[in-house]
Amino acid sequence: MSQDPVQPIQPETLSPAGNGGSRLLNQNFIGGLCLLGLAGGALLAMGDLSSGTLRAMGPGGMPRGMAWLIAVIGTGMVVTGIFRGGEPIPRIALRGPCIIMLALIVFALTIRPTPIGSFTTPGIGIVGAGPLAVLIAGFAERERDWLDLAILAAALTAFCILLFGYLLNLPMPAFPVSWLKYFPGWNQRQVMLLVSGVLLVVALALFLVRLRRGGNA
Amino acid sequence: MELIQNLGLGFAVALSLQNLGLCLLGCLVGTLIGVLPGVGPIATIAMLLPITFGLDPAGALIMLAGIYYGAQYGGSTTAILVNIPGEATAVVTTLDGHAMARRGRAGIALGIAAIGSFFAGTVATLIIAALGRPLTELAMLFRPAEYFSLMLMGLVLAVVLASGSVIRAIAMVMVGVLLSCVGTDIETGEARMTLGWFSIADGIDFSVLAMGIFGIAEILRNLEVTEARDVVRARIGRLLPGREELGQSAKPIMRGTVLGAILGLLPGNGAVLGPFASYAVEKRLAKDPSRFGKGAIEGVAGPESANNAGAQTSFIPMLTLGIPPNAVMALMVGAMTIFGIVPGPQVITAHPQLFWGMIASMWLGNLMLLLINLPLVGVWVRLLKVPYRLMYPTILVFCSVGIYSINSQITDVLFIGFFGYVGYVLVKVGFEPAPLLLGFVLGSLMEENLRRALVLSRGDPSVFVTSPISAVLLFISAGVLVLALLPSVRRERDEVFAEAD
Repeated sequence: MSQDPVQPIQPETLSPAGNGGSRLLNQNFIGGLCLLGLAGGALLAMGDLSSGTLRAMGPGGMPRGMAWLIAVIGTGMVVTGIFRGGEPIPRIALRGPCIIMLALIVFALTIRPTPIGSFTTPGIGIVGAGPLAVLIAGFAERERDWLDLAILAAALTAFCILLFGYLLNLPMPAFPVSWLKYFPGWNQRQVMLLVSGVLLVVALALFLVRLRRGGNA
Repeated sequence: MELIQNLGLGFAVALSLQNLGLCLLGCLVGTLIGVLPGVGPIATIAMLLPITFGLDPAGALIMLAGIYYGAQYGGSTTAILVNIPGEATAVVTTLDGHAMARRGRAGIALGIAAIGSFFAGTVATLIIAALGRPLTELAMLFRPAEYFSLMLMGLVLAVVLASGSVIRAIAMVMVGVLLSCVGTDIETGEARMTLGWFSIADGIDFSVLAMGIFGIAEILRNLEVTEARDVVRARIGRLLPGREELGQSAKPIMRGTVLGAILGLLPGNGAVLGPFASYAVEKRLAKDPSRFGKGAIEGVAGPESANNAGAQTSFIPMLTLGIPPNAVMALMVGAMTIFGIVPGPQVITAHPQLFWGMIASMWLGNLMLLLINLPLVGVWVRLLKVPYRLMYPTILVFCSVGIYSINSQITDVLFIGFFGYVGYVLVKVGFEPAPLLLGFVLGSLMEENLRRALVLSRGDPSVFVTSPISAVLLFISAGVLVLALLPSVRRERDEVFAEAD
């Protein structure tokens, strides 16, 4: 906001290096386009919902009104962006967001069996999906310490099973259903305790390894 | 007399073993996230929403409230010791608080911050208790038309008082309202903008939106920042301030409390503005303003009291009128609706245990925070050594497990990713996500009241200006909006926020 008010556009400084100095890559123009796109999408999605009359507003009244107002603001921003420019758009990272999305998708697909076409993913519960998500998410940073991540994965998974599954009794697939048959006579909560206990032992063991290695804090 | 009776009821609720435990838990979590830079109260409350579903509403809200004001305490610890504000409200504390720490008076700074916050919290609790009844009685006079205008005014004030472009904030509010329309229409039962998609037939889930746009988006933003933390190596020293230091701070604490309490009532960044206002006032009143920035104790005492007072009084509009003044309160309203409690003036009569229990718990929470923070400060400092590369996978997994546990829908997990990316890109193109959440929470209420008001007036829109209350509210909204868009005021507002940033 602290641009010189007399000369608001300075393409050399506004656009990121190597972008050919395109003056349209500013927050006003792009932001306005986003709003226009959203408003247009919403209007399309509304289809022929009735707006109703003032006396009896229909289901389409409010959303259609909002969409048009958003479109007006969006147009205003696009026009401002074309003629007066705006703040440059900061670099939008690719690596972090992609990795995080990947971690979420893998978590979603592995927590319970999910059919994708003719293929069904194995439902491995939190005990599998949790560590997978942690380890994948670790790639979002350029540097990572596998030992630290492994300790975190084991401890965090145990914590989640204990909190969500055991204490709060929420309907969570904590472990693959097939595991129950290896423990005849056990109920699900007992297996949950066992699984999280094993995970905690693993975490502790890895932590001891790390202590011995003398890693930094 | 009635007040004492009501507070008695509140303490009876808040002092139950379960609620005490939840309050303590909330305060601990709040302090933790307050201390850790990069994890804010909004994201945390969004993340913990699923956990509270198994509790009773009073306990859940007591815990969530504890997280919010606990974060204010924790934020100042980081500000003083590391020179990084743990929370936005602790920015001012870095100035003199960290200067004090560098001069070997870290303990005193922490001590006075905690004492000031406790005093402010106590006063603010009394203010909430005193204002609760009259405000709700006033609001009881409201019919749909007045309610609609009130919500409109709340949104306008929130937009104007928040930092950043007013027009963009308005656009975000509208996007929020638009998103709140998705799903089945309450009156006709028609599906709106669902694209035939089953998972959004009941509307966009509040926790999915909040967790995505705040929890996940925050991770994506933080991943770009390389962190550098410089914890004070020197000893923290004695914590309890001496008589002279207390004398120096007494008046700043009182002034900060009053300022913070008033500003906290305002929608938008009320709680954030309090500390800045208090710092400015103290500096102006000081005999020797040049001491400020070099470790003046008044510069810690005043703002710290102001931020805690503001954090607490910002509950007032939410509790009495059902109108959230900021994103944290929007989350609280969301939590209430999930429990089937319609936020609004009727809460105080329909759920007195919840209302008074929450107020009483705030005072108890403040007391707990005093104990949690002072003797345990060493523990919190050690936590500062946890690097972000271990924090973000934790947040991520916690969000995924939490959101899945609500509806057992894997689409919800994918949706928090989607909204997370949306929230990330929004900030990149210059939009703030907080007004969106406010619009989303208020959207369905506004639509309902608008439609009802028009039905009652037989389609005559003039009802909004012929009702005196509604006319005044609309007049204020319009006036504030015009003022904020005037070039001269706008420049000044930008300057205020530039200072704040």
